[in-house]
Amino acid sequence: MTAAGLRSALLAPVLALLPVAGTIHAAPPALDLLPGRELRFGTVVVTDAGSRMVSASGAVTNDSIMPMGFASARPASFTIAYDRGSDENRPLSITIEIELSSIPPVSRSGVTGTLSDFDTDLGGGITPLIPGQPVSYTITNCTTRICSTEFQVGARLSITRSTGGASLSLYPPITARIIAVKG
Amino acid sequence: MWCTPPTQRLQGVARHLLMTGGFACAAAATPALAAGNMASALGMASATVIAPISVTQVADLDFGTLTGGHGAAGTITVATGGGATYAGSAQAVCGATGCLTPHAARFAVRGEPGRAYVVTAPASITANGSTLAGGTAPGLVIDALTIRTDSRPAASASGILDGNGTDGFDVGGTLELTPDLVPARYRAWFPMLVSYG
Repeated sequence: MTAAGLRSALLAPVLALLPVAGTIHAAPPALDLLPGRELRFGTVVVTDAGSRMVSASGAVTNDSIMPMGFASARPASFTIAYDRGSDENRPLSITIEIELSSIPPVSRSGVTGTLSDFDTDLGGGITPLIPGQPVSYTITNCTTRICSTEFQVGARLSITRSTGGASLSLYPPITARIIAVKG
Repeated sequence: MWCTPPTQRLQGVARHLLMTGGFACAAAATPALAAGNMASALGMASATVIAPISVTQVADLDFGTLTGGHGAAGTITVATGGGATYAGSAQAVCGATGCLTPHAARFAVRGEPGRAYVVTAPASITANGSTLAGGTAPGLVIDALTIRTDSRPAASASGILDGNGTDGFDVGGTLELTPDLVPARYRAWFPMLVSYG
């Protein structure tokens, strides 16, 4: 075979393949976890110790604290999004493991805050979220390129106060991992 | 979906492209579970904790020693800014050691620096009388209680705590003397409610 003939023989399959390879590389499947609203406990007056629970549904309960209004208390929100990377509409079932990491207490200006009793409206029988213990959630019948679900997370903030007051900020890390994609 | 298998006869660039395509096909047939199979985020939880507000009595509301009655009503009004005003049959009485100067009540407030607070007082109270002989005298009404905070003297019953979380306020009022006033020592307790506002 001549050099030109060899070049033609090589290029033909390469050119035939390029569109396929290009489409696949454009967007590999990806999982995203997006924080939405922050978990707000609002403003509270604490004598020595007390707690406020903000549930995933937004219900607020106080224990040994005096509230300074309920309006600003609300659960956190997160969105899990799965991008299959193509526009095909084959139904998929995506099982995702969600894990909340443990959060150390935060102390500031004589005030210490500790988060506990996490709960969520994620569904699928998942009610408590226990730090360090992953839970599984399945997005079913996903027929679009991106399938997502938003969920709320509530928690209890326990407060101890020795002097003064403070604004507390805590950052609970949350991780989502794909366990299985079926379809 | 179809994949073109690598061709052994292909060399160089052509082979590299085909192999890349082959791996990509395999990855697409078994979605994710590679670099994009995990995601993490930091949530945020926030709260503002404030110290309780407290109030401490520093001085009584004192109407001093006075006389009145004798068939006519009278009043003595103690102002928050100092001084007293007598009306009707009411008159100040000075003893051998001088006059007992009427004065407003004084309270100290402590709480979260920079926070506003409000003071609530009853509309009126009744002072119970104890005669010098040990008996009971008819009560006298104290009303028109007025409040003046150090931080907002013009704002009536509201104040704002300073950078140290402190403030104070005075309480004045009017003692109503009846026409049939009985000589006695009159004393009343009244609640003052202070809260963040």
